Amino acid sequence: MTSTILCRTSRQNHQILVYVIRNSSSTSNQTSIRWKRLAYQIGGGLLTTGALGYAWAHSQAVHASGNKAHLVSLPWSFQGPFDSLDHASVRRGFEVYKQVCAACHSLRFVAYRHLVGVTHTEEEAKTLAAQDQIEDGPDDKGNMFKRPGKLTDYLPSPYPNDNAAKDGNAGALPPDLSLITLGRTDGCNYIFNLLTGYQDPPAGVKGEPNLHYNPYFSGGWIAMPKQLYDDQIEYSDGTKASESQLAKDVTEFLKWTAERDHDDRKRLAIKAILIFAPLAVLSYHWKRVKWATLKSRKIAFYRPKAKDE
Amino acid sequence: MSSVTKTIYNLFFRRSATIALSVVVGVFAYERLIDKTADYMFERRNQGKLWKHVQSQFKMPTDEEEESSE
Repeated sequence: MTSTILCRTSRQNHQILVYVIRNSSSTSNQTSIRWKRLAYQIGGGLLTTGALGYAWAHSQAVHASGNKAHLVSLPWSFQGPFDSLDHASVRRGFEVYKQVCAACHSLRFVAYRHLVGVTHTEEEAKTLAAQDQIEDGPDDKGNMFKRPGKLTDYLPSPYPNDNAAKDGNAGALPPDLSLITLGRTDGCNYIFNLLTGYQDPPAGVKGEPNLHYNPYFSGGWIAMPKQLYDDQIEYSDGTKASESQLAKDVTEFLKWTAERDHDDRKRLAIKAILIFAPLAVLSYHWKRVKWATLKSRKIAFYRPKAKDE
Repeated sequence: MSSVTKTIYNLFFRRSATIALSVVVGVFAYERLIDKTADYMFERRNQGKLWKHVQSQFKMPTDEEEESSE
C-alpha cells in the first residue's frame, strides 16, 4: 500500500499525533461506500423514472367521462421555448377583437400604451385611443364625463358592470378576455376550437332556447352565437380574413393580452442560459477542487510516545 | 505560457486597484456581450415575427382603416 502524507498535527513537544494520508489503494470500507453509492444512484434513478412515467401517463389521460370534445392541438408560432409571438398576427387579432369581440367582451387589463411597439406605433395607438370615449371624473360639480382616450387609458368595456352585461346577453355574462388564455385549460387551443367549433347538434339532441351547440364548450351549449365568418372584416395588411384566420389571429392576440411579458420572458431565457451555463460548469469544477482532498484522504491516529522512552 | 500568465498577473491581479478596476470593466463588457448575443439570437430565430419586422406592412392602411371604422 503506497501512501502520501498530506499533513500532520503536532503537540508542543513536536511529537506527531495525527497524520492525514492520501491513500492510493482502496480498502474494504471504501468498497462498501462505493456499493452504497451505487445503490442510491440506482434507487434515485428508478424513482425519477417512475415519477416522470407517472406524470406522462397522467398527461395521456383520455378524459372519457368529460362533457366536451377533445381539443385539436395547433402548431402555434409561439410554441417553442424561444419562439416569440407573431406580431403581425397579434395586430390582426386586435383588429378582430375591436370589430367583433369588443361588442360584448371587455379587455379591462389592456391599456392603449401596452399596444405601443407590440401591435401599433405610438402615433397609431394615440389615434386609436382618441377615437374612443373614456369615462373620467368627477369634475368640479361631481359629475362623471366622457373625453377622448389617452395612451394611459385602459380599453373601455362594452358594459358598465356585470349585471348590465348579463341583462344584455339573455342572462349570460361574457367573460373579460384579458386573461382568458390562462384562465382556461389549454387556453389557446380551447379558444380556437371553440370559435371554429360551432355546428348543428347531433340528431336527437334537443335544442335549448338562447343557447348554441358547440361540442368544445363544457356541456355542449353556449350562450355566445357563432361570431366568425369568412371575410367578416377587412385586415389592414390585406390578409384574407377566413374564419380560421380570424380565430387564429384573435387567439394569438389574447395570448398576448394574458402574457404581455411573453417575448421578454423568452428573450431573457436565452440570457439566463448564456450566463448560468458557464457558472454551472465553474461551480462544478470548484466543488470538485474543494472536495478532492476530503474525498481521497485517510486519517491515521498514532499513540504519542511516552515521555520516559 | 507561464510568461503570459505572469504578465496577466502583474498587470491585473497583483494590485487591488487594478483588479477592482478590471472587475468593473469586465462586468460591463461581459454584460454587453451577453445582452447583444442573446438579442441577436432571439431576433435571428424570430425573424419576420417581431413588431419591428412587420411594422411596415401595417403602416399606411392603419390610419385610413381605423378612421373609416369609426
